[in-house]
Amino acid sequence: MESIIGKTGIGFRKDFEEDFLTGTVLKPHFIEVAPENWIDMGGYWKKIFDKVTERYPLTCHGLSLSLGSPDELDWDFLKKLKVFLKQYNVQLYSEHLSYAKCDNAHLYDLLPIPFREDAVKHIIERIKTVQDFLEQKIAIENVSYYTPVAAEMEEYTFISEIVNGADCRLLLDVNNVYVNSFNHKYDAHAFIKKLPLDKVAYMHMAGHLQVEEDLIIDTHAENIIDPVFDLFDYTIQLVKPVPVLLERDYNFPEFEQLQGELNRLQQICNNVWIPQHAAAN
Amino acid sequence: MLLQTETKKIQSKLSNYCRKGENTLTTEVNQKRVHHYRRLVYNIIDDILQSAYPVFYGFADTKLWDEMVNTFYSNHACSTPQIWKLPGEFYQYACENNFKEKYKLPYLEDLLLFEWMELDIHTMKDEEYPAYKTEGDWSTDVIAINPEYRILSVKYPVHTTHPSEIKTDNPSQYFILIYREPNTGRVQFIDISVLYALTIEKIEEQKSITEIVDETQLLFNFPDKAFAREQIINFCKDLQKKEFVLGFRK
Repeated sequence: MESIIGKTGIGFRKDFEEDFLTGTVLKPHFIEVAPENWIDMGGYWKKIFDKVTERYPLTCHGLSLSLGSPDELDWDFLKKLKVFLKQYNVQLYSEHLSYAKCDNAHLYDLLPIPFREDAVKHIIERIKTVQDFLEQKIAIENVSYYTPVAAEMEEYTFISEIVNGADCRLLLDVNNVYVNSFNHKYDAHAFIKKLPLDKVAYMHMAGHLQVEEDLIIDTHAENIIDPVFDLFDYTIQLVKPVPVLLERDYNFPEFEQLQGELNRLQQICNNVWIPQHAAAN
Repeated sequence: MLLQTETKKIQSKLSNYCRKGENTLTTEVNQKRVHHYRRLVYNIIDDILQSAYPVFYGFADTKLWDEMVNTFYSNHACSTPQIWKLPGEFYQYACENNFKEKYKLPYLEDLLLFEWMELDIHTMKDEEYPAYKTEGDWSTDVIAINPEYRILSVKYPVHTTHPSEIKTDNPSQYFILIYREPNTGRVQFIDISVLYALTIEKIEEQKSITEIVDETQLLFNFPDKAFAREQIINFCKDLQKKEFVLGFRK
C-alpha cells in the first residue's frame, strides 16, 4: 500500500460504509479506527471492515487503554489488541494521554490526568510496558481538557517528560492545543514550540464548539475554523512530514465539504513539506 | 506502583463524580467546569444504551429511562473496554437488581434480552461453519445448522408485541430462534414451539431427526411418530429456505 507520510486521512464511519467503499467524493489517503470498535466484531461489519482495509491503509487510535489510570493495565484487552494490530498490519497505533478507567470501572471518555511528577513516572512505565508487549512504538495524543486537575507542572512539561521518558511518539492534535490554549489562556504557538516536535509521528485536526464565553468543547462535530487551520500551518513548518487525520464524529456535512477540509489540509502540507523534501534532495 | 496515594485519590474522586455525581473535589479542579465531564460521560453511556434498546427506550418515559441508566451507571463498574458490549452489562445489571419488579414491568427482562440478542448476534464473532453437503436423507442424516444463533426462552411475547400491548397478567412460554444470515449478516428471528426448540438442541448434539423423535417420544407422547418426523422435517426444510439449516453434515 502507498505511504501515508505527509498524506491526509479521515476516521472510518459505519454510517457511510458505501461512500468509503464505492463513493467518488470522499478520497482519503488512509483511514483511522478505534480498535475497540472492531476487535471481536463478526458478521456484516467484519466483512465491511475487511473490504475497507483492503482499499485504504489503516491507522488505529485507541480509546480504552487508559494509560493514565491508577488501575492495572488490562492484559486481556492488550492481547486482543496485539492480535488485531498484527492482523491488519497497523503500523501506527496511538492512544490518549488521559485516563478512561478508574476503580475498575470504565468511563468511555477521556479524563484529564493530574500534571504531576508521580503521574509522569507512572505513565512512562506503562507506555514502556505497552510498547514492549506490542513490539512497536505507540504515539500518545495531547488531549483537550476543560479543567486542570491538581496540576503541579505545566502541561507541555508533562507531555514532554512522558514522551521523552517513554521514548514513544507524539500524536499532536492541533485542535486540542487550540482548545486548551483558549480554555486555559495560554499562547498556542509558544506551547507547540515547547513540545518534543522531533517525536511527532501523527497529527489530528478537528472542529470544536464554543459553549461558554470562556470555554470550548472538543466535539469533533463542527467544521475546522480558520484559526485552527492557521495553527496547523504554523505547526507543520516545525515538524517532519507525518500522516494527518481529520476527525469528524458527529453532525456530518455533505461529503464535498469534508473532502474540502481534507483538500485544504493536504494543500497546507504540500505547500510546506513538498518544497522541504525537494530542497533536501 | 509509582503513582502516589494522593494522586490516585484525586483521580478516583473525578471518576467517581463522573459516575455518581457526588462531587468531593474542591480546589483540585475548576468547579465551574468540572460538571462538563459528568455530562459528557453520561451522554456517552445514554447514547449507547438508547441505540441498543430502541424499543424499550421508545416506550419508556424519559424519567423512567433516565433513572434506570443513572442507577446502572452509578452503581455498576462497567467492565468491558469495548463500549458496544456495554448493553449486555446493562441487561445483566437489570436482571441482578430485579428492575422488572422495581419498575413494575414484568416483561422488562425479556424485552431487554431480546433487544440485546438482536445486537449481540449481529456483531458476534464469526463462528466456524460445519462441513456440509446439500443432498442427504432428512430422516437419518445429521442436519448441519448455521452456528450463529441463540434460542431464547421468554415469558412474554416481546418479539411480536409492542410493550404497550403486552398483557402482563398471563405469562406463558415462548421460544425464539434468533440467528444471523450467512450471506447478508442480517439478523432474523422466528417464533418456534418447544418441540422445535428441543429439536435444534438435539441437532446441535448431532442427532438425526429419527433419533430426535425417538428421544423426545416420552416427553411429547407423539400419537404417530411418522407424522411427528414429517412435521420436524418440514420445519427443517423451511429453516433451510431461511438460511438457518445449511444441509447435511459430512
